[in-house]
Amino acid sequence: MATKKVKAIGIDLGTSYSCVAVWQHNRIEVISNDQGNCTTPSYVAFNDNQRLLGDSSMSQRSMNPQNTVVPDNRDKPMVTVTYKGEEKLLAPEEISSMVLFKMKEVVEAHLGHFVKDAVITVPAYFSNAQRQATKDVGKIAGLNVLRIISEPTAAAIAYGLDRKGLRVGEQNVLVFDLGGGTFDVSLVTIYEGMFKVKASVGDTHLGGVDFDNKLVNHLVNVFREKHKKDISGNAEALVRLRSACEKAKRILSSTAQTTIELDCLYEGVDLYATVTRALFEELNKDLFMKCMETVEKCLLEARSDKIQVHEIVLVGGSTRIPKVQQLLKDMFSLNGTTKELCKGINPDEAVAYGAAVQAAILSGEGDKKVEELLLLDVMPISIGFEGAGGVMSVLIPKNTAIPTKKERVCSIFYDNQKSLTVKVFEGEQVKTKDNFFLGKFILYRFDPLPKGVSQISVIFDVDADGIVEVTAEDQAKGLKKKITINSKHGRLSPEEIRRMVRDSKRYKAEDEVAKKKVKAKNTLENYAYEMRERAKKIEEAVEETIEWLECNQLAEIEEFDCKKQELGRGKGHFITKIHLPRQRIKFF
Amino acid sequence: MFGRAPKKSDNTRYYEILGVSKNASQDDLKKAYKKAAIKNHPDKGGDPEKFKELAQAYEVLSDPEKREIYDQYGEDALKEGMGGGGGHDPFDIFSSFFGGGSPFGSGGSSRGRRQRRGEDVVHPLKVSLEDLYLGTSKKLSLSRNVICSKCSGKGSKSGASMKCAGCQGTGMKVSIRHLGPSMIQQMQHACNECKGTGETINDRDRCPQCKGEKVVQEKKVLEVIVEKGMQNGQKITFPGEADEAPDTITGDIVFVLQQKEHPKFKRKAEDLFVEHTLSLTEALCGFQFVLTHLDSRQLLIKSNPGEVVKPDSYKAINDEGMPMYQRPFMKGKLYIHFTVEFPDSLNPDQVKALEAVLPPKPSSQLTDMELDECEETTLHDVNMEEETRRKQQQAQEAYDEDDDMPGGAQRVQCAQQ
Repeated sequence: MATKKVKAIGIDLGTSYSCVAVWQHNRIEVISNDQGNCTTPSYVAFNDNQRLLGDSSMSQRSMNPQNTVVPDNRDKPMVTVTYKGEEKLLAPEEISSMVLFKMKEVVEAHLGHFVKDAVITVPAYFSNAQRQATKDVGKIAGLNVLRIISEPTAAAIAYGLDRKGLRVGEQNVLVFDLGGGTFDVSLVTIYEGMFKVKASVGDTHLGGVDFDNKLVNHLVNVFREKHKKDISGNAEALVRLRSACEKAKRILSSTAQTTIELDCLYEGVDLYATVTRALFEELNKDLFMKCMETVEKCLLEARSDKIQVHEIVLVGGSTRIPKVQQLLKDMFSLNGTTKELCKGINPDEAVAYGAAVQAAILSGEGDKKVEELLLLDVMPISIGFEGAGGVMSVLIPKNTAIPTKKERVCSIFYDNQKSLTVKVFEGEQVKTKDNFFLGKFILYRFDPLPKGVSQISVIFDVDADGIVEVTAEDQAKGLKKKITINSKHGRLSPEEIRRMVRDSKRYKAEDEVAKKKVKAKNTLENYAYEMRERAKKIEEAVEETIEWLECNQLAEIEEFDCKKQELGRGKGHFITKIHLPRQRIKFF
Repeated sequence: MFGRAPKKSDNTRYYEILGVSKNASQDDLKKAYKKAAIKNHPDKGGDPEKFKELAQAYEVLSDPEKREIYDQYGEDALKEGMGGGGGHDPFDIFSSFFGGGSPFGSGGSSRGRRQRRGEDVVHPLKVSLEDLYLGTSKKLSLSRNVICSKCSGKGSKSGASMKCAGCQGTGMKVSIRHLGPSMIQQMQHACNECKGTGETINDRDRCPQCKGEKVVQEKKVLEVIVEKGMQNGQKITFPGEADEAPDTITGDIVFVLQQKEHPKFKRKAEDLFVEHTLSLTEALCGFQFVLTHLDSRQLLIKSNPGEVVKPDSYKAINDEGMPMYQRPFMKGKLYIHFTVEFPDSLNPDQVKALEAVLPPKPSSQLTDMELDECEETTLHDVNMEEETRRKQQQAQEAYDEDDDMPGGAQRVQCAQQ
C-alpha cells in the first residue's frame, strides 16, 4: 500500500517530556514511540558503552544519575557527563538537539521514510534570541525548522480544530499550561480561524518537578526523624525517591491514597510511607496559589475579565492534579454558574497537535479545514529604542502580531547635533538599563540645525520568523542606516553549531554501531540456545539406537540397515546446520 | 525597499487598505481584516509588506482613540505624536480635544495630567486722594498672550506634539544652585524649553501663525474703575485677562491701588485729618477761616462765640471725611488739629493792659520780710532733650564707679540722705 509522504512534522519540545505529531490520513496523528508511549522523556543518558535516548534513558536513571541529563531551559548550565570513559562538556542546546533527534527517529520509524521539515514549539515567554537558539537546536538535530511557535498558540489551535462551533464569533481561550518544569498562562483570541495571543504570563521555575520536590523533601524529613539518617546528600537514593514520588503524584490524581515502598533506600534501611492526596495538596498549597495568581496576572495584562473567558484549555501533565483543576474551576465560576474546564484534549498531546497543524499549513498539506486557519504569531517581548534620559521608547509592544512594521519620527535633542545613536532594546521596563540590549548603530553627518527641527524616521521591521531589522533615516538629507538584530548574545556561534552538527552525526554513527552490536549479540545468543536444543535431540536419538542394539543383537540385516538410515537422517541435519553458523561467524 | 509614502495628511489610506468605508463599524473592520489577513499572510503565500500594512491599518482603526486622531490629522500625526524620546501620553491630546475636560465625561476618572493655573499679572496703580474721594477711571494698554485661533493652541498644524526632551514631559525642571563650598540648593521651576507645558512641536509641523508657540501677542485696553472710598492696597481684579496658554486656566490681571501723599489732608480709614495754626488772639477771641476740600468745595470754619481754643486740641466736622467704599453717600469725619501760636515777649504797657482784663494772679502768702530771707535765683532757657541725655550719661558713669569701690553700701546711704 502506497502511503503519501509526510512533508513536515510538529514537535512539542518539553522540559520533561516531548511529543511529536503529523498530518496523516486527513487528520492529525500523535505518534507513539518504540515503547508505545505518546510522550517521550526529554532525557539523555551516557554510559561506558553508548548514549541512551528516550524511555531507555529514563529507565536507567536511578543507576546512572550523574550521567542522565535533561535540557535545562531555565538556567542554561553546561553539563559534564562521562561517555565511553571520557568526560564530555555539553551545552543545553546539544542536549535539546539529542531530544529532537530522538523525536525525529520516532516519527521516521513510524512513517517509514525520512523527514526534514518541522515546526517546533517553545514557551510563550521565550525571547527572540531563545527562539533563534531553538532553531539552531533543530539544525544540529538535522531538521529544517519551518517555524517556532508558542506553546499556548499551538494548544489553542488544537482546541480550535477540536470544536465544532469554530464560527461562533470571537472566542477567548485561556490556555493553562502546567508542565514538568515551566508554567504558562495565555489568553488566545480565536476569531473565525484566526489565532492571536493577547497576553502571556509565565513562571520559568514552576511545574510538576517542583510539586515532586515538595514530596521528596517531606519524605527526606520523615526518613530523618524515623531512622536518624539524612539521605539528602545521596544522589542515588534521591533519584529513586524522586522517581517514586513522581509516580505517587500521578497515582494520586485518580486515587485518594497510595504508598511509597523503597527497599534498601539508604544504608540498608527501607522506606515505607503512606501518602494521601490531602497531604500532597497541603504540601503544595503555596505553589497552587501561585498558579492562580499568575492567571490573575494574565487577565490583567490582557485587560480582560474572567467573564470574558469562554474556554479554559488544560495543557501539560500537571494539569491532571485534581486540586489545580478545582482551583481553576472555582476561580472562573461566577454568579453561581460553574465553569467547566475543556477536557476533550489530551493535555500531553495538545501542543504537538497544534504544531503539526501549523506544519501542515506551512508545507501546503492539510484539508480545507486547515487551509482556513491562520496563526498570528506575536512578539513575545516588547522592543524599542532608547530615548532621551534613558527611557525605553517602545515601538513594537509585546503581543503585537508579526510580521509588523512600525515607524516613529524623532528629532535631535541638541542644537547642531551631528550624529544620532540608535540603540535597540528588548524588555518591559521603563528604563533601558533594566532591559536587554540588542544592538545599535550611529547615523552621521547631519546638517547643523537647531534641536527639534530635523526629522529622523526610525523604522522597526519584524518578519514572520521574528527577525528584527531597524532602519534610521534622515528624511531631509536622505541618510539611511540599517541593522539586523541577530540576537547573537547567548547564542551559539556558527562554528559551534557546525561542531555540534558533526558531534551529532558522530553520536548517531556510534549509536548505529552500538545498535548493530546489540543486534548481533542477540542473534548469536538465540542461535546458541537453538543449537543446544538440537544437540539434545540428536543425543536422544543416538541413545535410543544404542538401546535398540543391546536388545536386538540377533536382528536381520534389513533391520540393521533401516536403523542406520534413521540415525543418519538426524546426523545429516546436524551436519547441515553446523556448516551455516561458521559463515555467520565469519561475517561478524 | 522601505520607501515611505509621501508625507501628507492622508486619512483615507487605512480604510482603503482594509477595503471598508470611513464609517465602518468595529465588526466591519474585524471581518475585513480577517479576510484580508488570511489572504495576505506570508504563511498563506501572501506579501509580507502588504500584511504589515494591513496590521497597521487595523491596529489604528480598531482603536477608537487612534482612529479619531487618524481621521482628524492623518497618518503622520500618529508617527510624530508618539515620537521624540518616549511615548506621548495620548490623554493629553484628548484633554485638549475636549477643551480641558475629562475625555470620559463626568463618570470616568480622568487620566490626563491635571491642568495648571496660569500666573496672575499684578500691576500697581497710583491714585491721588482726590481720585479716591471723587472716584475715577483709568485706561491702560496691556500686551498679553492669547491662544492661537488658527491651531487652537496646539502649536502644530496636525495637532500633535512631542514630549519635551528637556523635562521629560513633566513641565518642571530641577536645577541645582551652589550656595557655598558644600551647600547646594535644589529648586524646581518651569522648563524653559517648553515653558512648563511638557510638550514641543517639530519645526515642519509648526503653525504658521504662532510658529509653534501656541499663543500670539494681543494688545488690549483695560478701563480700571476706581470707586469712591477705595483703600490703599486694595485690589481691582480682571478675571481671566492674563496670558493664555494651552491646558492652562488663564490667570487674572490685578491692579493694586497705591495712594499718593496729599499735601494737606491725611487719611485714616474713612476719616480725614487737617492741621491748622491759630494766633493767640484767635485762640482767645475767636477765629474764622476758609478750608478748600478735596472736591474743591470751600468750607467756612468758624469758632463759637466766646469759645477759647486750647493748644493741641481737635475739632470735628461730621460728614466731611472720606466716602465709604460701596456706600459712597456715607462719609467719615473731618478732624481739625489746632496749634496756638504764642508771642515770644510783651512790652510793659501790653503787660499792664492784659493784667487789667485777665483774671487776677494768685496772691503771695509770704511777707516782704520773709521774701528778703529767701535766696534770689535767675531762670534761663534749657533744651530738655540735651538735659535728659546728659543725666542718663552721668547715671551710667556712677553705676560704673560702684563696681570699682568696695564701699558700695556707703554710696547708697549717701543717696538716701
